Amino acid sequence: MTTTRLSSWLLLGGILTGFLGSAWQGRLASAYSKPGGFRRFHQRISPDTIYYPPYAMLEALALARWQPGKTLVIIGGNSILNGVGQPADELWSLRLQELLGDSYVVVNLAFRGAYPMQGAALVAESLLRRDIAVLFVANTNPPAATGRAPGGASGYLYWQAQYQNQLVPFAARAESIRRWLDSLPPLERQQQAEERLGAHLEAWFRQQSLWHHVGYRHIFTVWNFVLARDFWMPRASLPDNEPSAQPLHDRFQNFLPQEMAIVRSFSESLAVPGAADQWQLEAGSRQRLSADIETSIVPLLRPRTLILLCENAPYYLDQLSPAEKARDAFVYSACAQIWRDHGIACEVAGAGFAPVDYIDRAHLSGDGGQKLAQLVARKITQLNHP
Amino acid sequence: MIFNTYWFICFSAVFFPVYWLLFRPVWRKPWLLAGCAVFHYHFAGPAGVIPIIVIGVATYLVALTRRRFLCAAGIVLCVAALCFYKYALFFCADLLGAFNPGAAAALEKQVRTVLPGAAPLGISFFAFEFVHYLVEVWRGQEPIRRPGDFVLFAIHFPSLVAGPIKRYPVYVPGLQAGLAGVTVDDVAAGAQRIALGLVKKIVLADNLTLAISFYGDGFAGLSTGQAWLFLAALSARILLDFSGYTDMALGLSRLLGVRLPENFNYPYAATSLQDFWQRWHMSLTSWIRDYVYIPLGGNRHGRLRQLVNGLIVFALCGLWHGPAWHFVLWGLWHGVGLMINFSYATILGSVGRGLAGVFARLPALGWVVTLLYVAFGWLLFFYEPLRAWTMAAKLFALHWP
Repeated sequence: MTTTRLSSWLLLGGILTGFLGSAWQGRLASAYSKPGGFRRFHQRISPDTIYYPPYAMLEALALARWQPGKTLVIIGGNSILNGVGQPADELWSLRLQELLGDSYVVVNLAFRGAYPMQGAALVAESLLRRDIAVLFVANTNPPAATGRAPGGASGYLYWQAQYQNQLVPFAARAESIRRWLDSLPPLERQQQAEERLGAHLEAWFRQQSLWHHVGYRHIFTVWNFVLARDFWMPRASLPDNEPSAQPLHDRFQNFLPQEMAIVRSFSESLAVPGAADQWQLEAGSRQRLSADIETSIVPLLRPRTLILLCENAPYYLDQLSPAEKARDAFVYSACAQIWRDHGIACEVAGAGFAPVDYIDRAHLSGDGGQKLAQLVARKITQLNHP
Repeated sequence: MIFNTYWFICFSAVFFPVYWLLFRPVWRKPWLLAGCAVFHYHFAGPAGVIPIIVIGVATYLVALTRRRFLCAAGIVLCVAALCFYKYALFFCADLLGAFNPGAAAALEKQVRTVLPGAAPLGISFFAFEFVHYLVEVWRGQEPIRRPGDFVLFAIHFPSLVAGPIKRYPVYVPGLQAGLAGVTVDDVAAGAQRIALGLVKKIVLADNLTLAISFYGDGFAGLSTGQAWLFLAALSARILLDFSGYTDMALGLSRLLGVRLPENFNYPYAATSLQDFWQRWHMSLTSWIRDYVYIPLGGNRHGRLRQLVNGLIVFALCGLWHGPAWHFVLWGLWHGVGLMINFSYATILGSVGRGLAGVFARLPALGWVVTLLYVAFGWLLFFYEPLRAWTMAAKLFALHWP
């Protein structure tokens, strides 16, 4: 054998060994790798900064908190429950843990921009399937309803959970997702196919688990504008830096017309005038919301779930006309009832909140977080001990 | 980028081991054909495959006849297909629209009813390779007789999306050699080349792309130093992106035992613009030289004609990169640069000869001037002319407009 040929065999052998070794390391990392001192997926360990925590990491975080005999409270939903607007020490879920006491353990797995049935919901489903005492809390708004498990920035978690066999078989959800995939334009369908294939490969080779482990502990390789010059630094060295709320008089001035349009859209897309100056839910919307819930949430999870319909900040609500206010109140109340009709606890969050409780249209300040924690603690206790 | 998709990784994991295990060329060839067809169909879809089949079959058949007028008709068909799929809307909106907006709008509406959503994948490369093939047959070269060889020449998957542009007299013997015996050295060399390409493309170029996109939006707010850094990043990005992709294409082809032509030879080490174009996207440059510049007369009809030919060729070269005016201007920028490069020593008399002497004695000076000229050209390549001009002014702490 010539020297060239030998070195070629050695190189190829090295590539194969390196690949198998990285798959093995990835598998190990997926079992234990998680952010240290975890409180939430803050911006520097979130998809906002190209850090896409693998599904296995979410489950590892939840299991690390859980202790036998205690009820694990998993918080999902979007940036509101993630605690955007609350510095790490004022995080509402820490207050929730204090209020619930030692018989509960709280883990905040909410992602910015996530739908209620993405990410954390899948972990709750998976752990319930293993007979672990879990309660799941998520937020949404009336028109967004349940959202879809795949799709969007957090949708990859569904495919990963699915291909790692962590989910309860649920034909209605599978069928709904299949119909959604069929309805996508070709380019988006191809993107989803790629995401699925990536999740499939992750189940075997754990390449994303390894990359995120390296990115958290050692070096990150993808630039993003939030971290800019610090993009390469291990994410473990970048602490949660969520700022405190601005002074009250500066909080609600940005993009006012656009924000008011969003506030109005929450109820005007769902409600139509009925008889005797009463509002009623538009029939198609009622049906869609009902179908969303029916095809998104596994029956096993429903009695263990609390959904919060988060109201907009009073600063904006106060600018609605009396008729719009009535419509808004009706839509929140009617939508909450639909959730309850499907056996899911649902509360409207925001009643009695003051302007100081918000940092912008939707996100809660430290003060608002305290109020939210009190509301959720009360409901959690009722849910766990009906 | 196709080569780092999960689909392509899975495709490769099945395709290459089977290719290597099929020892005999008679088995390998249909497997390679099937692989190329699956690759092309997956990424181009039916709307992208059908036009290529039509012009490919026409090219193959007319070449077999070796009749010059049929070859000429085939060339017209290939160029017409390229113009239609890639430039129809540009011709309507940007060219006709400048003279007769009403007619342009009506024609554009008509064109949109027949145009697919996107041009067929790799149409520019298909058109150039088919034109090369037909011209060579027209000039008397032997056509490819075996349909399988022609199909592989057309849709050889490593070079299908972004080249390099192949020449069939080189490709077909290389293919036969690869089918007959791909060696472990080929595979190792291919793997090294792919690794190099992945690092250039994914680790370096893709990060630069993200940063450039962000800082480009806020270019007006950058300091002069940061603006120069931006220009350096822009220049590095396009080289790393394109040469990284080419490395992967060459590496993948080498895994099949087939060597493709090189496309880059340290272009930023060039000490003159002429030198740069002998190092940058070489398969395109040589194609344009052989099939546009020389047929136009090249340098055979005096200095003025040579300069005009150069401008035409570079305007077309720019347009080939995309249907927009800034690409044309980028091409002209280089055309003008080459004009100056060729003629300053004679036109400027003793001053010109003196300058030429300085450049000859100080190659580093030529390198700096060339690099700056090329880098400014990238502003035109990536941005609309007005924006590119504003950005260039910013580099000299000027504010325009």
